[in-house]
Amino acid sequence: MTFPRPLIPILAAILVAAAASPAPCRDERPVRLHLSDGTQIVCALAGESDAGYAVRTTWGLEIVVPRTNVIAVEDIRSSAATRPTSVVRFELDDTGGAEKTEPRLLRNRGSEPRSEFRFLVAGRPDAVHRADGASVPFETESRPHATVVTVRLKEPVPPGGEAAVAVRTRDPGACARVSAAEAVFRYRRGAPADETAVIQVTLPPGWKSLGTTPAALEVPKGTLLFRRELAQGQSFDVEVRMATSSR
Amino acid sequence: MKPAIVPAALLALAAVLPAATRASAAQAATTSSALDAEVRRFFDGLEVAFAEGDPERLFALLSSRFEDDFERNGRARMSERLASVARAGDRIAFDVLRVAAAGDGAATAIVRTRIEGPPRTGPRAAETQVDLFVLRREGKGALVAARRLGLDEAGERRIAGGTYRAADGSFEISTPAGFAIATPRRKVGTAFDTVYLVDPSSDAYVLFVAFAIPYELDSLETLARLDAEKLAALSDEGTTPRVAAEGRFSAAGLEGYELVAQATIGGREQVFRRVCLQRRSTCYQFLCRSAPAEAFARDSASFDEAIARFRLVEDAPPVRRGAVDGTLYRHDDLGFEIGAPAGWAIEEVRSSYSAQVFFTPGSGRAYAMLCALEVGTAVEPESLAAIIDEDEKERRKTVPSIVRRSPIETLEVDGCPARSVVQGYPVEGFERTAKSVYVASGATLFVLILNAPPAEFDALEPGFDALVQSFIRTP
Repeated sequence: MTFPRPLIPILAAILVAAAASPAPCRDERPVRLHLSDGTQIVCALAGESDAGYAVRTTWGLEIVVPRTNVIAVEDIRSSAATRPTSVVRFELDDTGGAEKTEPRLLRNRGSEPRSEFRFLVAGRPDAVHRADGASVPFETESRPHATVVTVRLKEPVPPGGEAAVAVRTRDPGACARVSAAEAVFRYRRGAPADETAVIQVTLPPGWKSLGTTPAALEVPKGTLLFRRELAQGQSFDVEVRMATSSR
Repeated sequence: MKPAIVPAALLALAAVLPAATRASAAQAATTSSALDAEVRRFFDGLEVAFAEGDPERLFALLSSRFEDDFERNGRARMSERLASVARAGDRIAFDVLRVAAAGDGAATAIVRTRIEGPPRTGPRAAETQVDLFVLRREGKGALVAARRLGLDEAGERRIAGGTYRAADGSFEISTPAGFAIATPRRKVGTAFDTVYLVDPSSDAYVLFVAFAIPYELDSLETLARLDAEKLAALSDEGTTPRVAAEGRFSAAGLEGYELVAQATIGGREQVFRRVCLQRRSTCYQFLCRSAPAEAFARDSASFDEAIARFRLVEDAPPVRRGAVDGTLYRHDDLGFEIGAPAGWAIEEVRSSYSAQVFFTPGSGRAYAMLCALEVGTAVEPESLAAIIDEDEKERRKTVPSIVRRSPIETLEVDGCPARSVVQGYPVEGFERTAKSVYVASGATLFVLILNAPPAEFDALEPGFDALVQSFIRTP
């Protein structure tokens, strides 16, 4: 059995290290962490230690981000807008499919503690993990255009509480083939609340970008990063046109 | 002497004609004291007529055009309402909430009606209703009631200082000088906001609606052309509306389209000016009406003022929204998710429902839609057929030629009881076929609809059925 690889880019480099016990701050301050993989996270900085930065995300998740993965800490206390950051990552392959990694919040709106939750994903789910990389058992049920995923958490979520998981799915039809050597990837993200949407698209090995809408940052080569501040109800449409390098 | 039990017909009539004044000092009047006193005497007169059971005296206080401007067959509908109110109680009380004066001795009064006492037969009536009355002097005589409009109490609470603020805080609209502002109880079509600006001294009004554009419009010109066709359908037989002007228009930072047309409706020459402003998938529309047609030149300044005073509020508080994620849509607060066929566009729009989402299969005039409605109490499976019947009855009021093309069928959607029905009807001059699936899930009613031209319906139905089957609850 292979060790499950971490799923969320911003969490990929993050250790949930309760044992690190960073020195607590007297007051939490809102910051934007610029991470080495090009993404950012808006959160409340709760403390610092040699191991890293202890932060609470806008979802309420308390995590420690290793110092080695942080390029810069931007103080946004004076900034008017402190929005949550959503990050969705796609790794495209040359068959036209994509592996998608996304965070999901499981909310318990009931009056009793709950450990079973279900949600829809496009394509086939490969793995569900907690932020610390712990695997979450799940079952699937096929539906038209989607798959119902039912997860059972080890610890029940109290009424009104929520738990974050990362979901990795494989969608065999994520890209539209224009020709044998060209393909187009499109994705729409709508914001349920004001947020910073980050969409990361990794091209298949040996493929190059012919152009994107909107413009993307390509760091490192072959990894496209889209980022936009979205007001509630706005959508973010991205399109990547790509071709094999030999073309 | 006041009868112990009010005769049913008079009781019912009184439900729509305020008979007593209990003016609240706090809510009063921006009017001259003389006219204010006259307005209150008018309602006192109604009270006396009501107490004496004198129908002739009551009718003498009505203008011959009472209600004609608001609803076709208004008198017939009023009689129907009167009869139902008569069965619902034995005493009526009225509060004059607001009086506003206009030129020429005209005025508007906002009046709350309360039905008291045990119901005589049938169910208990709604506890209160609020109406706008337009009062006008006929010749040099006394004031008469010229119009009545049922109001939305929740909407009325969002009016302050002559300005209406949308329920979600996203826009404001204010009255031109001399106009009164009100929010009709009866909404227009699919509008999620309806505001009425009326000049009590004339027949001019501005009907403002905000609605979700139900499909991808190629341009606002299309909307204007459809409006012109609708106006033609409303015009008197043998007459043709004349488009006097049309063109691009902008206001409140939004692009739009303007159409001015003259038409003969009900034997009267009238001028309609329609301004549509678009913001993403929302259309803000002003329908300005002048009658007679010659009055348009005089009314134009007020119409311009009404449009100029419309503004979007950028710092509107957030409302509950769902989220699009590729081909999926999820709404965490309402607890549901759904997956669309590949290539179908998904867009959530603001509406009077708890949530409304469009699924558009490419270009064209076909669309699927999901509406979620929180009803407060559990929706019983056996009541679904009655809900479909009631829905159809309500729709028949505006589309009389609606026909049912299938019996109501029973099905399950994600384990929830559901019913489906197929109907056909013309809308905006086009034939449509609609398949509706009503899903009962706790205290939320979900309605999924495929609406398409008949020629496209069969090809899209499998995709719609798959959309329905992908629906899950995530409570």
